[in-house]
Amino acid sequence: MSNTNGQAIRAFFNKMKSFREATILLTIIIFSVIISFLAPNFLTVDNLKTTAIGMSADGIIAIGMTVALVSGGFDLSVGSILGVSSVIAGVAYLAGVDIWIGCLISVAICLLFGLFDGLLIGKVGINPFIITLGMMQMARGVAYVVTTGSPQSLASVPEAFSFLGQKDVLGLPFIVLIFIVLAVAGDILMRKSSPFRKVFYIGSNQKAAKLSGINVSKTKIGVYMLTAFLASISGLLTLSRFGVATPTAGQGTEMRVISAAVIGGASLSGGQGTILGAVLGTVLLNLINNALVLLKVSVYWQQLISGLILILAVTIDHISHLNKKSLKTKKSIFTSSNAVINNK
Amino acid sequence: MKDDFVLTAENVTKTFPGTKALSDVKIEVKTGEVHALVGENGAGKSTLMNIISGVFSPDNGSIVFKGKPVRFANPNEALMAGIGFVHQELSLCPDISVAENIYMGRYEKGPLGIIKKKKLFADTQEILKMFKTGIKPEEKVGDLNIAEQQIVEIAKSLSLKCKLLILDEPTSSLSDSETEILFEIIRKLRSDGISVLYISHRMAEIFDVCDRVTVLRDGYYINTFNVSDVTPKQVVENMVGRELNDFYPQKSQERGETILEVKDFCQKDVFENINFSLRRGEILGFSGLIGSGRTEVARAVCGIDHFDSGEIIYRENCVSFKNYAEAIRQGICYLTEDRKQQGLFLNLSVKDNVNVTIIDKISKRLMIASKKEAENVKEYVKKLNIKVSDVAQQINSLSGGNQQKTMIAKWLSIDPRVIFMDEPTRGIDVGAKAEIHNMLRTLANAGIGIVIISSELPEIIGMCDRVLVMHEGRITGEVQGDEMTEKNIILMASGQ
Amino acid sequence: MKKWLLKPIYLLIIVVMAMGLVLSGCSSTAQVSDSAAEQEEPAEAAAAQVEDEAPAAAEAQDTGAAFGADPNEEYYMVTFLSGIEYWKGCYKGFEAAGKLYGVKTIYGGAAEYDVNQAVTVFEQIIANKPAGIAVSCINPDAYIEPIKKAMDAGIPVVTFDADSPNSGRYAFLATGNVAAGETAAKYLADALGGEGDVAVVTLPGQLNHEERCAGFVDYIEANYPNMKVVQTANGGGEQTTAATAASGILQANPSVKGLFCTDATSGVGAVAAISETNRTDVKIVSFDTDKGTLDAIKAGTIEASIAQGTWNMGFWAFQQLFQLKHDLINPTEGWEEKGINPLPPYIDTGVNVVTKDNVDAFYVSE
Repeated sequence: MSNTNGQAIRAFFNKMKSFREATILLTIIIFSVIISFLAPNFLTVDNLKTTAIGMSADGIIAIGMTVALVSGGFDLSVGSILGVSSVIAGVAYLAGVDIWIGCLISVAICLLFGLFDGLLIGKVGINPFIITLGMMQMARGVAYVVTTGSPQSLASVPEAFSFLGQKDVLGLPFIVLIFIVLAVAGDILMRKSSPFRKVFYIGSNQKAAKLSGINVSKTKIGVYMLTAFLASISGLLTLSRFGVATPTAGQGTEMRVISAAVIGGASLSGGQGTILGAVLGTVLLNLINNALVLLKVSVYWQQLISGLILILAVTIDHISHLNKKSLKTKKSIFTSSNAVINNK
Repeated sequence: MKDDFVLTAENVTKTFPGTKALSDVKIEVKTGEVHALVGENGAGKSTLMNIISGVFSPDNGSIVFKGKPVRFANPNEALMAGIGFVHQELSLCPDISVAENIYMGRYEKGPLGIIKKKKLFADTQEILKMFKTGIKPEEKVGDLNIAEQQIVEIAKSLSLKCKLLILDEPTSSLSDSETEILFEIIRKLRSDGISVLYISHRMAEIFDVCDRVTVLRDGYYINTFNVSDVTPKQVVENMVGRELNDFYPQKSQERGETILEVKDFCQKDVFENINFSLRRGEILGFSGLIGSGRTEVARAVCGIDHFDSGEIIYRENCVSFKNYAEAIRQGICYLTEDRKQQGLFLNLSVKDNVNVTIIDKISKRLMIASKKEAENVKEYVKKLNIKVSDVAQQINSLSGGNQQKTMIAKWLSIDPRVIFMDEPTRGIDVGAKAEIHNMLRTLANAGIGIVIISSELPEIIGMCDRVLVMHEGRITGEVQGDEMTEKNIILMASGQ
Repeated sequence: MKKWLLKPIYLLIIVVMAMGLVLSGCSSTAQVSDSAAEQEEPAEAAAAQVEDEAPAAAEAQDTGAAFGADPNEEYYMVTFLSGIEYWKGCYKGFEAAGKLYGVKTIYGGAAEYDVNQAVTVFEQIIANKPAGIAVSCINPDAYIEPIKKAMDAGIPVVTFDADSPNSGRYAFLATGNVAAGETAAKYLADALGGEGDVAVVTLPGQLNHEERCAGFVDYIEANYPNMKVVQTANGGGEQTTAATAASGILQANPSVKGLFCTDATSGVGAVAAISETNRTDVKIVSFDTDKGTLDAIKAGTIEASIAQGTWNMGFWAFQQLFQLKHDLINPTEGWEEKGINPLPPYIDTGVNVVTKDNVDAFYVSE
């Protein structure tokens, strides 16, 4: 009798261990417990709520970034797309266009940016680093040109719009709700839908994907349009949250989001990653920041500590998965580990 | 006459987490002997070689080299002591010259630390002379073909005055004429008193150039024979542990209608005037030297690469595939010769690898039906006898043979009507080879048209009903029945 | 043709060409707006080129242009992060002064927050041989050599907003940042009735922000024993980061009643933070006068903002450059040879506190 119970528990733990995100979830839990003792205001509804609001913009973008990482690339332009998206909608509104139409225009333009990236990366085959870096500059430049550098204040915007970024629905801030919905949808689609499965194949071995009949360029175009789309949504929500369209909005986002996705298990070489992991990564990074402020750590130390924790988290994750793999791949490690020279 | 052994290894045991790779294995190599080491994948050959060459140390056992007991801490020590190892996947630096590769780490330098290039090239030329080859010392290694690169690797070991040279599957990428040159080199080494430890699956070669053969199976030492005292069949039976009746499945005489016809097929500077037809139930072979254009023809027919002129008639319709995906939908597919780089998704599961070609087919409204995923994999694991405990495990944990079977399963999943198989049994052990051969014949009998591209003549002759031979982009001949002999095919392959 | 005729003919050709050049120079006004009518007289001065113009200037005084000069004289204002709104105020003042003198003013700078770019742009402008340069220095030491180079080439240089004190520049015009911090402290303390806890959201590591923060903290400490600055957070110069920092402060310190933001973006973030943490009773004192901040003051979400004298920075910088260029300043005989600075070396352009009462005056028309 007790044996089967023991077996069941052991089976549960084994399943949990192989559940890739388990390490990072555990890290978050342990971290939260420790901090809650050191900073009494940490586990309050208010604090968690505002932290959640603060991470939603990054989180929505992290969804798209995970897909880009899995495809073997990444998108450095997301911060600039966030900025230009909020600016286009703001400027359109101030020019007399209905705010919702302004949002549609903004999303459409950002999708065009994504299409541009996707064509150059997917069809022409240029390295995503260069293309998205260039787009990062371009989109930011457009934001400056459109606003001539001045933040656009949306003082009189209709309430229905400011609701998005500022109000609650069923006790949850709407912006957080959108994030959760997108994250859940994204995670399910990543695991179970065919177009996203193709992204995995492409990231794992692009040549083999092509030789298995997958339309690599079409899929990659879709990937970069998706990252632009999510960044644009994030920009509109930011516009609603602050009521001001600043051309500098979103700066620095791309690095934070890539870190979050990688902490959550996405591999920079492609073929690996989950949205759940990216979300947990975002949560961890934001909790760390929050803790540093609550613990009144000097601002000069905060960056140093954030960076150290990032390195620690990634290293622990890497090591814990290395052990599992080494057993199964003994042959491939030990039989031939030399460079293969292609026969011409 | 006392036998003089250059290498004796006894009671060698090695355990890795979870498996025992070697149990009490022994091997003795005489001075001036060519000694073959055979065994299926997983038999322990690579592990034994790695121990001898210093890649890792054994848990137990002794190794005596040139009369002295040795324990190498790393490959460099073994190399310096006189054991050279030419791996199956070569370890040369493609961007630098032959001479620099051979003398890597041992360059003679002048006063300012500048390498004495003249002397380097002269020394290299001395060594290369042994091989009767046209390789120049200053040539970049990446510009050489595989056979030449292999010679450079051997030269590297010889320049270190090695007494024992270990060759791991040396002929897997060589043509027949290049193999002959290699054998000449091996015979010369033997007459110079250098021993060669020859790891291979190819019985023909072993019986051609080796003196003795040691068989390992499942980590155990089985036996050592003199080549002159034993038949290939006996050796294979020792390797496999069971009696083998036939190497190749029986050919069938039944033929269906013509399913594929290729006319005046041409790709500029690659191949031209390609005409052939394929009937259902037939296994057609494409033979020829490496570089003769066989792979290119197959890829062009399947729509992977473009072609400049010609016609493809498939199922009585003239077709032109816009892209490879369209060809796959129609039931034509191509199995690549390079499974690691172009065929498999090494970090994904076995399940994912099998289902990649039918992702859209098993999805409804863009969502993959996991039931169908599982069913498809289960079906082919069973049909092809793929040894895997859990289809969710990563594919790179499978042996080469099982990986190849998985790749075949991936193409069978689309219910193809025509399959072009490029080197279907490269780099896999005898047991799995036989299984795949049987399966191919079964598929043909079920009405699928199969084209086998292979550089292994025994495979071509044993499996195919008809063989086309290509040479430098043209078809130089077609043989079937009694005409299918090694001699005829080799003649056609070299252009006559 | 007789030889003695050639010389007069050549002379005639030269005079005609010179007049043609001068007349064509008159017709291009570029960024100079009001002085079109007054161009004829300065043409003479222009023909003799721009240097050492004291007599010409005196002459031109009759024409109506306050201090007449060659309309093609170019004065540059050079910045970093050149696209941001803050410099607009500075340039407006600079340009207005330029119009008074009837000369060209040009705005330039590096778009990024990057010292290499900024210095490169500055040096390229030197190569254009302008009449004077007013520059804001992203890093004090990086500009020492370039400014020296400009001054050695006869181009007067003054700095504004961010200084390079060891470069030998004539003068530095800026907000007294410490005093600004003190002004903010006084305003916030009065608004809170002299008691309660406050916090600061700032950009650590940037000198002007550090000074504002220090001014604020020291003033509170010295004058309000019932008040305490409980925490300082990094706004990161970006609104989302600033909002997160401000929320964090509010969560960590339930007693905080007031926030001081040393830059406008932190203010935007703070506004969102107080609404999201349900602490709308917290009073915010922000910095600068971009439209978003002014609207917030009007709406009551920001209590007040510290407006810098940016217009004045530009206006008086220009005056100094012009006077220097035209040798109109002479407090000490032979100051140039003796190495004495003729200008007041530091001008505090001061701050204003913008509140609901006077906010309308600060809206700038584009």
